[in-house]
Amino acid sequence: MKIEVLGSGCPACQKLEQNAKKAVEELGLKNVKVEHVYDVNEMMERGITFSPAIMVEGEIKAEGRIPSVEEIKKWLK
Amino acid sequence: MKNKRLYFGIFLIVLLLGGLVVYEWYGAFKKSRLIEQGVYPKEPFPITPGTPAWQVPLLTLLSYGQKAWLCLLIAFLVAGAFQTFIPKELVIKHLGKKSPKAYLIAAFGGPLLSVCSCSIIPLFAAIKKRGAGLGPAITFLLATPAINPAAIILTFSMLSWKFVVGRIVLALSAAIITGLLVEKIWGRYEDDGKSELKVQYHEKELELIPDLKEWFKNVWEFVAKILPLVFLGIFIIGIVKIFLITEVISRYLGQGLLQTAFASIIGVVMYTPTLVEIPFVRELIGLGMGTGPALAFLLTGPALSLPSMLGVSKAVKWRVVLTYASIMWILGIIGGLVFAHFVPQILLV
Repeated sequence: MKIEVLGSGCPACQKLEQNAKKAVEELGLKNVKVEHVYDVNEMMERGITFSPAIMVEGEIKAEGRIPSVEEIKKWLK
Repeated sequence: MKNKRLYFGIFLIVLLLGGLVVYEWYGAFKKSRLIEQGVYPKEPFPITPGTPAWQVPLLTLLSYGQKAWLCLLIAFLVAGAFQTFIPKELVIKHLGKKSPKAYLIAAFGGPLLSVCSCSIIPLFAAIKKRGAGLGPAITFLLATPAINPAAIILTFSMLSWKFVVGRIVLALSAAIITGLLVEKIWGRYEDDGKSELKVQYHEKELELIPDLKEWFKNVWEFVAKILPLVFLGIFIIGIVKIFLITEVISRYLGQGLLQTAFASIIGVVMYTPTLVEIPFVRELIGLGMGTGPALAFLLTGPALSLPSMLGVSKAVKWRVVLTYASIMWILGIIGGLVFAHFVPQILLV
């Protein structure tokens, strides 16, 4: 499974990356990778309009806000 | 009814704003009556020349907390209501095609989104590449953080309605003019000529309890994100205040062309977290800043900063970034001078 955090490098995006990593760690998932996409054009290609955004398995789960660790955990189950 | 949710949101926002305006005007009315009778309202946290320096930042913070808590609360409630009930697609939908109208929609629609300057960079890139093009994208980029509902409310309550009018009129015109000029200069080099911007528009039904819950959640997110920055900003202003003397402020930031140019360039370069610009300007006016430099700073401060320019430079070339920054600097000066012409002096209560 793949989680992607998309952001322009702002503090909010870093926080989302931390939350995503924490969610993966707390669930003890070993084969889940958290990647950070910084490329604005890439975000646009994927139809994201607001950063930070998070995608799980290529599906946009949230954008323009920072989902909590608990919320991210739900998407991973 | 189809747009029940949207109308409910608008009703809520009008109600909150109306309440605040009535409250503020009633307070101002009462205060002026007291002053007429010779009774001056007492400052609960006074800062006098005898106050020890270490207490100044603390007292500054307390004094703002006491004066502004209600207006901050309403500002956050309104910002949250915008985010919850006004569908973002409504604005973005109209920025999908090239048309002269796109400039107006970018300028007036941007503030409705009420999001911070760094989170709109992907949308900026999308408008530029797939949507209305470079000019409207620039207008959108500059108008969105410059005027948001929370900042307008705080400006009204802590500065004056004159600054509200000046800010809205001048910031929107500056954003539109900059967009048009940048399009004229660099538009043909940056034209990607791609397909149209697609926006999915999900119309949501009004469900009172979950919607109100979502509203409070959004309000809380704003509070958690912005309030610590505002307090930190005020605290730092309190520290800076110890070292600034009225003579220095009046010389470098008093009324005048050079002073306005100086205030405008500070605004372009410095990163000002949203809402912090207001106590910043309020304190400096108290120390002798002119109305012209004050408005120039309000125009450029929240709209531009080095970090946001770095972010934008990922989506357009640096020459475009430098062009819009310089145009905004000049428009900041012009805006400041225009404002100083109409409002040469202001007394903040």
